Amino acid sequence: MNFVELLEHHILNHTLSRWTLGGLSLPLSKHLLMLWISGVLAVLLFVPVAQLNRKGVRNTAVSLVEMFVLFIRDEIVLPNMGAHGLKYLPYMLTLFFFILLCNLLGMVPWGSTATGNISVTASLAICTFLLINFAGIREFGVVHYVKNIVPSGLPLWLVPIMYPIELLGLVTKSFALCIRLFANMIAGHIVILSFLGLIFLFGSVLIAPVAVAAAVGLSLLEIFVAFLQAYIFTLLTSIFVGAAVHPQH
Amino acid sequence: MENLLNPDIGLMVWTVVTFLCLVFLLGRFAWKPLLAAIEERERRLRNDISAAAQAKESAESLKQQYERQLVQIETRAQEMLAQAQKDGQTIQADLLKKAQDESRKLVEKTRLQLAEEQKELIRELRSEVSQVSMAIAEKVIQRTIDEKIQGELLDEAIEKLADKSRKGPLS
Repeated sequence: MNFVELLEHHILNHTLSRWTLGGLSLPLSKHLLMLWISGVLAVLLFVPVAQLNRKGVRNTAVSLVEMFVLFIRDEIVLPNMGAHGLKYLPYMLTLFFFILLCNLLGMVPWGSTATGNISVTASLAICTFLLINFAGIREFGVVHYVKNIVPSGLPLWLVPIMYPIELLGLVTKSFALCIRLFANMIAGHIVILSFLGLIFLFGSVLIAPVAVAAAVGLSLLEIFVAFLQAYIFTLLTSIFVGAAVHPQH
Repeated sequence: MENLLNPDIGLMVWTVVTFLCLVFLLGRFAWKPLLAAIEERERRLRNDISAAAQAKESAESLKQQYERQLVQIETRAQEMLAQAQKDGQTIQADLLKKAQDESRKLVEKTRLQLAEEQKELIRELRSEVSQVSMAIAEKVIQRTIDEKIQGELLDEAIEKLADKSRKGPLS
């Protein structure tokens, strides 16, 4: 059994149908399907929950969602962006739950981790990057925002050096977001597959209990990581947007 | 495995489109009503808390007011009691004095009356004595001749006088 083939089968994307739009290839793939399933699930879950919450119904789902929403509002958005940031709260909520659902769907049998695809995480990071700049420009206007990219009060000769560094930093932040989520989501899968692969590598059933136990443990860890990475992605996005809205003077 | 890190432009476009659609849909139909409901509830909670605090404060001030009033009432009651006691004492003293005065007056009057009566009696007695003397004198004149008669007459007069003084109230 070829381990590389096995890994590729489980981790990489598979094109299901080739669609093109004016020369741009927009294929329907496994990960795209998972994204859509996450999106549909999110809509099916949160729209009714919101309606129930407005009517004052309290049940497990409503309370759970409200708990997450309050956590994101009070622990992520408000401390990092201030009351100003409340207008970005819906974006942060969508980001958190979308990433969380994608991560968790990777743990479901026959599911696949869309956030373990670098194209998906890169797209989300690009959205964050655009939001950082959009929020900064919206707050200060283009000229002031561009001036704010370097900290004010620098000696004049430092400004030409600082500009590339700060711009690079801006891109790096988003790039790090992309890699962090991608690597975290894929690493657990690779390790689980490796443990299960041990059974075939040794060709012995005796190793199976150990491998399965390790895989179960790692799966539990992966559930934790799914929440953790959704949290971190949202937290860092909030911090970056908050920094763009409130630059250090 | 080499396409693990190859970005797939098609999927990226799809991801951005999907994500932005989701941002719009959830923002419009889920987060907006949900956050509004949460904020409404929080505002109500804040209002309730402040209203409760206000009610407590007003109850506290009312209690203090009542306590003050109670103290005032107690002081006034004590004052009134003391006043009543004083009044009672005054009245008692007045009454006592009046009674003493009255009794003294009564004694005085009685004494005066008695003195008056005594004088009256003395006057009466005196006139009696003079009358008796006159009568004796008359008889003496009538019976001068006989010394024996004279002596009898004298005895008679003395007896009469003694009789009178025994019968009379005062001499």
